[in-house]
Amino acid sequence: MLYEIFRFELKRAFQRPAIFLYWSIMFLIAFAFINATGGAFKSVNIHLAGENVYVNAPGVIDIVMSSFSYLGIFVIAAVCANIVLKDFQHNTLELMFSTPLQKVHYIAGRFAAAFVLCVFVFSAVGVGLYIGTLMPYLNHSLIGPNEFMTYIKPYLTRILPNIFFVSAVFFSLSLLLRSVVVNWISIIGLYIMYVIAMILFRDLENQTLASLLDPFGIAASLKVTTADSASDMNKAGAGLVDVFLYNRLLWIGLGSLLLIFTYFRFRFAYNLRSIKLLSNKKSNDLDSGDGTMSDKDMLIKISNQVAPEINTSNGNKPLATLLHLIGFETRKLLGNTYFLLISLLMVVFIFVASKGIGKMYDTTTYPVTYQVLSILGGSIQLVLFVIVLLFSGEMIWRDRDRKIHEICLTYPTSRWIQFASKFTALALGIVFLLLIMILSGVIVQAMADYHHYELGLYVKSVFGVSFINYLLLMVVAFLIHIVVNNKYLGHVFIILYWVIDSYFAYDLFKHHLLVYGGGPGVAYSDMNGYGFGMLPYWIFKLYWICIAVALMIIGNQLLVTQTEDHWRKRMQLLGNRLKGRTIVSLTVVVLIAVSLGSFIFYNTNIKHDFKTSYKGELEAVEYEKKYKEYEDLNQPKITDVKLHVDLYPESGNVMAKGTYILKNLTDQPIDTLLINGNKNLSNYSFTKSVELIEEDSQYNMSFYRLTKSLQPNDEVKISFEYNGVNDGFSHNGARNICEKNGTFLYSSLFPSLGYSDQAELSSKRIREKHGLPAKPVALSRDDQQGIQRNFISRDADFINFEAVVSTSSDQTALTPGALVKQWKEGERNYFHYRSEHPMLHYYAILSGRYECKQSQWQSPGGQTVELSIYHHPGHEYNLDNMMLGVKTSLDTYSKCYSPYQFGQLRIVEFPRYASYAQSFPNMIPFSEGIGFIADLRELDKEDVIFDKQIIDYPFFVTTHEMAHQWWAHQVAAADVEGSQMLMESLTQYSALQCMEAYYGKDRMKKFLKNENSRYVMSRKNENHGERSLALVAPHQSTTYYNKGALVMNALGNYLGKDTLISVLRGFVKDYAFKGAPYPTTNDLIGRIKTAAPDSMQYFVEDALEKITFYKTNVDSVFYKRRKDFTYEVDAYVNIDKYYVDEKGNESEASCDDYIEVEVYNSTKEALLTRKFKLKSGRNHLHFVVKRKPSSIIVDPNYYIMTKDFNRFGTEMKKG
Amino acid sequence: MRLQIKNITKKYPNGVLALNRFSLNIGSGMFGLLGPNGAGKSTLLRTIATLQDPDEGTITFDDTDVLACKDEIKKSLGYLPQDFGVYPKISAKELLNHFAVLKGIHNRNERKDMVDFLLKQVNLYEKRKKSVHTFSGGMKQRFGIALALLGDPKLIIVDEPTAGLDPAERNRFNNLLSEISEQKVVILSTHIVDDVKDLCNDMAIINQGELLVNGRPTDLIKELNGRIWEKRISKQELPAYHDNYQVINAHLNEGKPLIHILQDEHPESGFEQVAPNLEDVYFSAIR
Repeated sequence: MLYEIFRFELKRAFQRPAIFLYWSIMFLIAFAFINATGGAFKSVNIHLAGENVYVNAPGVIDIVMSSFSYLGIFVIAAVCANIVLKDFQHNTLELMFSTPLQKVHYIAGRFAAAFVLCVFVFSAVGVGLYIGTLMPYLNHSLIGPNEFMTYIKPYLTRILPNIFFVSAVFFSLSLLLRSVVVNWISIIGLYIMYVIAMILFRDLENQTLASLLDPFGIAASLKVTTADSASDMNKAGAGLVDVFLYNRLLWIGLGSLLLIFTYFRFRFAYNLRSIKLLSNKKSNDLDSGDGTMSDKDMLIKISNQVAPEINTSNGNKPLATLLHLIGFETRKLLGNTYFLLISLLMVVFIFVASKGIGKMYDTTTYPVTYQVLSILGGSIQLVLFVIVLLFSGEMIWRDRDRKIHEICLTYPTSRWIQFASKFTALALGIVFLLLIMILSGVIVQAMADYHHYELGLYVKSVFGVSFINYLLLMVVAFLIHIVVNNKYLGHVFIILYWVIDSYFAYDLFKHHLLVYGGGPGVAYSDMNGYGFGMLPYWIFKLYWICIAVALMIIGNQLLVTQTEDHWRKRMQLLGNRLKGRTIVSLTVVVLIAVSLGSFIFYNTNIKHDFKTSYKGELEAVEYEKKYKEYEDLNQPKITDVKLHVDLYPESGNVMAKGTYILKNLTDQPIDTLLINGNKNLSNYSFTKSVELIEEDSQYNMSFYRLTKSLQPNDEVKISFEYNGVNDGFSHNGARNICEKNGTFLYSSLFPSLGYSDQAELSSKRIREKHGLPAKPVALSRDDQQGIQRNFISRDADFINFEAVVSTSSDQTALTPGALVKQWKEGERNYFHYRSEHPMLHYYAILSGRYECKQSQWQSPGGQTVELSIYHHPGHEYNLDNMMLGVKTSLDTYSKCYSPYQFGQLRIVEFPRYASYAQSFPNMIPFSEGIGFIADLRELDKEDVIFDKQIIDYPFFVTTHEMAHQWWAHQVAAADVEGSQMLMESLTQYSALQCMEAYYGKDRMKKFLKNENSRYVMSRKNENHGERSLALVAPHQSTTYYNKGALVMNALGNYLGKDTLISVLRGFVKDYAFKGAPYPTTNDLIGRIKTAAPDSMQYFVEDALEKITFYKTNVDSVFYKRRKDFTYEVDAYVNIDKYYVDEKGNESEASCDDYIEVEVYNSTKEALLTRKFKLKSGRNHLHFVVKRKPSSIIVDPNYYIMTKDFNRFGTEMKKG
Repeated sequence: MRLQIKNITKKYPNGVLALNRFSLNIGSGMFGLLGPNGAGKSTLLRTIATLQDPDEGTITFDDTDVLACKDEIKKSLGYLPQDFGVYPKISAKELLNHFAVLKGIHNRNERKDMVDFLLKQVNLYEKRKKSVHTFSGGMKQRFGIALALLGDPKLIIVDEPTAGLDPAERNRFNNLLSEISEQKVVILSTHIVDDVKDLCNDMAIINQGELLVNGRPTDLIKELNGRIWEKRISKQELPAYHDNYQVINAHLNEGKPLIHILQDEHPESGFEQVAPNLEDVYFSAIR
């Protein structure tokens, strides 16, 4: 019997096209994916991991397969619903339930069939991926060896368990509740669990919980592959170990329990036991008095009645009908249980997601409105999508589903009224959801004790920006339902549209004009509002609204209004209906769309440059081929910069004039100047006679020949004009140069000298695609050209800088230097700055309506520094922490390294379009997105276990940027490999010195743990091969920031802090403000080695010149009380040490190294901290502590590098 | 008031010729449309009700071209399909009110009067606050006729309304129909011959898309006067009678076939002349 049910279901499914449709879609997506990553399309570059990972590496196939099993839950839902609900839908229920069928056979047979069908559908993924990799036209250097296990293993560990659990959920719920809609709610529920798990996962302390919580096992597999490097990913995917294993077991178990529950709960009965809160007895005795009268009564009654007069001539009031229908549809929607349930889920999600607002170093930000809005605009899209999907179908199909359409269709209600009422009702439903979102957002803010409610901003963001996108989605959904005219297929196509639109649309169509609903984004900032972004945004949206209206008009003509609905008939009807007013209005909207489209095209492609990424690549190739030969062309250096810059915040324009003094610092005469500009620069003039020999307007390169060549130490003055006009808009949106409030411009606005290799393509794979030779990621440490220039600007050493900046009367303009003069002229503010000390050719120009917090710092030597923080009014939360950071830095660095070179230091807030802080001479632009709104109210909260402590990153970031005033602005590194270590690792170490004084030991540990995790987690994304700190390349930021911080901290501990600091002090002394030749890591490491004792030479080499990892494991540990009430401890510790080469190969190294061991009592107080010399393999440690020990940790302070960034204690046993 | 159907042809995409050059004139009063399953009744009714278009032919109602001016005709049209459902969880009154708006009755008071009147007329006023999807079959059909009567239509089409109703409900429903048929064209499609006999002053019998008979039921019965003969036979004899006579009807009576044949003169012994009824008309037509 069981087999018969199973067989019947399979046979039935395989006779229908749906299952093959799903299979084909899965196959095509998988196949297309491998083609895209394997380089089949010249214009598409996709990769999931670093360039050293093969596109078919087990680690990648793993990720791809689990993404499929999670995106494919729609298919599982469809398959299950079809199998389960068949009997309810086709009224075969009574036939089925009146057979002597056993419940267990019914349930098991059908579930087995559903499961097997889903597995069949998902088999397409593996087949598609595998066949994809075999395609001969792919770039086979990207494809590693193909092993069957690579494709089979993810099925066992991911796809099958996921299908099992998910189909158990769908199967059980739709069987018990007899409704398809519960499947949609389950989808949303599962998705929300996944998103919540992913949010939790970002928090290092919650990773285990997150790993268990994610029903798809994605978080868990990430957890067990956290520290995988590129070569690990090439070797194997996630092993079924640890949390990944537990996760799989947990969810398979839950799935089984659910099925068992279903078995007991399910009843073979016609009527579902009704779930009603209030029983309505009267409705049960329907037939007792159903208005029957005797026929005689009836005849009497009839003759007594007179029909009321009806004036049907007033039947032509479409508006009244429309309003009534809108009311009717809206009530139906808002009264729908599932609609309300989905809304409820959404609210729950908002509250859970709000817990992790803006997390950085486990520290959240205040729930300012834009942060809350980012939750509302994120994963919640899925909820709204499901609402649109479900209820557009429900509305279009309601009459037919209820079999009332034959009556409705004979009523004189016009098509457009029917359509418009449904559309409006669904739009009102969305409005309702959005209002609930806003309300939830406000409650989230109130709960976080944040009371600056910006309702206007909520409304503007939700209804002024996002709402239109939901309307556009609704048009598509309705249109698909109308055109496809099959509820079930309609859903499939809408989902397909959504998947393509969310993931592939821009790869396929590139231009906003071609991607339905497309347009440039807008970003909100507290400082700048929506800036200049709204106008272009709405121009694009208007274009799409016209197209949507045209689609609706066509859709309306296709609306089925008769009982016949085959295509021939519908096309015939369409032909009949497309006339008169319809065709006129269609023509009008299409004409408007075409004009808007042309206007947009004129702006994006003619006035401005529209570049697909592929075209961008081709240009970079051409640039390189054309000008690479001039890379070594000797150029003079810029020694003086004078600027006059006018900022116009109202219009976004920037006008400027400038002069450079160029000096020949080589020992050769120079006869050609190569000016690297941009399209806003013009009117170059020189104080020496020159001849323009070539001007390239595409790449903005100009070559000038000096009539008389520039002799060594000779100077020439060049002046230029900059005209930056906010003119129209481009594909990316507004083209303003400065912002309405919070302008932040770089020196790159103005010309530079010589060929810049920054514009070259750097990706190994992309260069290979275009036939370019491999490019070294950095110049060699011994490269003479590299040593002659610093890493920040190749065309200058230290310059004199002077600038007059004007801005609107309500703004303050800032740039490096001392403020010499400030005045007002014709409703504009003018500021004249001049640097008091030579500085790097690296400056920024900022302007905004700031408030300013001021202070002063005095050095013991009597130097006074004016300190100011220019900030947005309302962002006062952490100014004290930042100011403290500035002062602590000045104290620490001037004592450790050298005096501060300027008389002022300014921190200036800028809009959150970027979220970093950056150090310019005496000025630190600091994004409003980090630091200013960090929520540090619980910073000093006591009784918090150290894992949960928050980190004052405004302070940390400030001290880091402050350190750059020394490590960059005093000592600039050469433009060669390793220079980032001199700049960033030393800066991190400096910041740690400030933190140590200010943070407790636990917070330091937490910070170091974060650094360790970031480093090991990023290794798989390395594109060019990992490098040691000494040779680190500019793109390897986690090496020079995170590993750098750990390594320098360890060196400070192993060599002694004073030793290291004095090495650094000497380094500053020798290289500060020296100009070329610039120092490299050779120079610093040489000094460190000189200062280090012989016993520590190995450590310096391991830390700085090699990539070294350890694996530690406390095998067992015992303690014994001695007669004198001290305790004797015997610990057995396993140590592995290995080196990693550039390719990621790990080679065992013999260890005889100092490793710290710490012993704690039961209250986590350290009883002993000592470095032991530990060998590879098992070590026996024996020592005595004074009090009763409880646990032991190897390397608690992160001095050695391990892949496991947790340092859990091992409990001691009494021996 | 006159509904004129001329030369209607309808062929479905699957090749079924549902109506073949079909013409019919229908005047005011109750018009019965008889025919076996698949005769083309529903196709004809749906075509008149604007729910589908014929391939050829014209239909006019008074002076209105039904096929061209659908919106115009819909205002004076009431249609009760063979099988219909309702929205769940909506009371009868509310649903009727909803449809009244769709029908174009915008004056609130008029609408209320109309709804109340119709609910009373179909005898559901007591049940007006009940949800329609909980109604019994007869109540639902009565509610359906209320839907069809909304807006005082001049052309009412009811497609097999009494199928599945118990005798009492059927009676009740027929009373309702006869009451509304004054000053209106009411087309009643059915395969229950008695309904037509009881209610209709005019009728047609169609089969395989063609009009077989059209006229007043009494006239049609009169035509068969003296030509219908009845005999009780055994089951084994049935094929032989079929071969020798024009057997128009053979139904079981007390377990034995009772046959009616159509013949002008007296057939062999054992046959008795009987007064013809409408059933004889029907069966003689569709043979």
